[in-house]
Amino acid sequence: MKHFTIFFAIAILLTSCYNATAGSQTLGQVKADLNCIEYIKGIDWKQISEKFGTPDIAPLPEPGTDLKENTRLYKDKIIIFYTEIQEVKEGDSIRFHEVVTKIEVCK
Amino acid sequence: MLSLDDFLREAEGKAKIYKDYRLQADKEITIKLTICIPDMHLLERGPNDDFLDNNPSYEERFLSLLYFLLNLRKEEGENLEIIQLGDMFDLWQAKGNTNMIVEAYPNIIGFIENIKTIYMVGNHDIDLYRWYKDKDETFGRRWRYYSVIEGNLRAIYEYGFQADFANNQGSWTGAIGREITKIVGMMEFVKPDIDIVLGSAWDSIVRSFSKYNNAYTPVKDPEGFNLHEHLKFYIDLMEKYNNGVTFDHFSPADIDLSMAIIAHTHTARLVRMPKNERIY
Repeated sequence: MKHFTIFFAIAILLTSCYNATAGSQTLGQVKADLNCIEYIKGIDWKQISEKFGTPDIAPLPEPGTDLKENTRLYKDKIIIFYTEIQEVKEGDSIRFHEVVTKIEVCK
Repeated sequence: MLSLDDFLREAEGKAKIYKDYRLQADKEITIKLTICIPDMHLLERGPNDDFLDNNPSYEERFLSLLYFLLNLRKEEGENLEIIQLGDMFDLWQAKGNTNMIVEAYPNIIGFIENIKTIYMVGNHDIDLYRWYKDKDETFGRRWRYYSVIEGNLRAIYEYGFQADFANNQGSWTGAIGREITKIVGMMEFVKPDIDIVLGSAWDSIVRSFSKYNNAYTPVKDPEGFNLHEHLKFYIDLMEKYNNGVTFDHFSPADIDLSMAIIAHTHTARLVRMPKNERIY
């Protein structure tokens, strides 16, 4: 019983320390060790492949699309979503939604 | 319609004749200027990429031709017909599928699409048919295409593996041919020209055996014309069609075939042969 109590105490202490560390960092600090690229519509694929290398998966196009339209998958990448509260009209009333304004992919 | 000479003049050196096989047809075979692009064998680049053949200038040269064809398409509209005869992708040697080949050659694939190319399927890209056969998707690839004049079929365009004992994808011999090609493809990482060396060796074996044994080739007595292993297959096919022996939806009145245009041999040749009082 005593061992269990010590184990849980250490575990709780460590996880709270981790959360405190992650939560108290600015984006700049988090990104300090990352290599990121910002997604912009129409970005040249070369920029992505030069940064991240050959994709882990390059599937066949879906039927009904085109051989020119492809998808490429990387595993184990970090995605940063930039969010913002924006006003949205829902019928006659106004509501606020948190929307994504920018995406960065990092390794 | 532009004549071949007009085309060459407008191309200003981007296209030229390497071997002149021009012959006068007895009747018109097409009412359009038809440009055929055979066997491109695009891969993800690398030493076994037969399109590039380790020579980056080939890509630039081909791009300048495609750019010219794009402008010609704008001028000529439907009077120009551009047919990619098959094996645009070399899926037998590709590391994956078409996806990373598109990444390797976005310029070429973009141009080819924009010039409204008609695509045939070859034995090296027939997997595009096979992978999607249950989903009825061929990505615009066709088995065969015809030129039609006043309602009559006058010329057949197809890849040509159908006539090839070692590559007919509907037979077990073609399955063996495919595996051999894959092995040769791997050997190209060591010696890039090994495919040409082995291909020439195979041709010389076939040529000597064809005099005695038709098992290696459908050629029978070429009657003094250039030896061509696919000649008899296509002349017989056109004869059959012209006589109405076909399961296709054409009636004999619609068929007046006199020319078959194929790729696959990697060697430009024109063979003219009379049969049953016709010239094919």
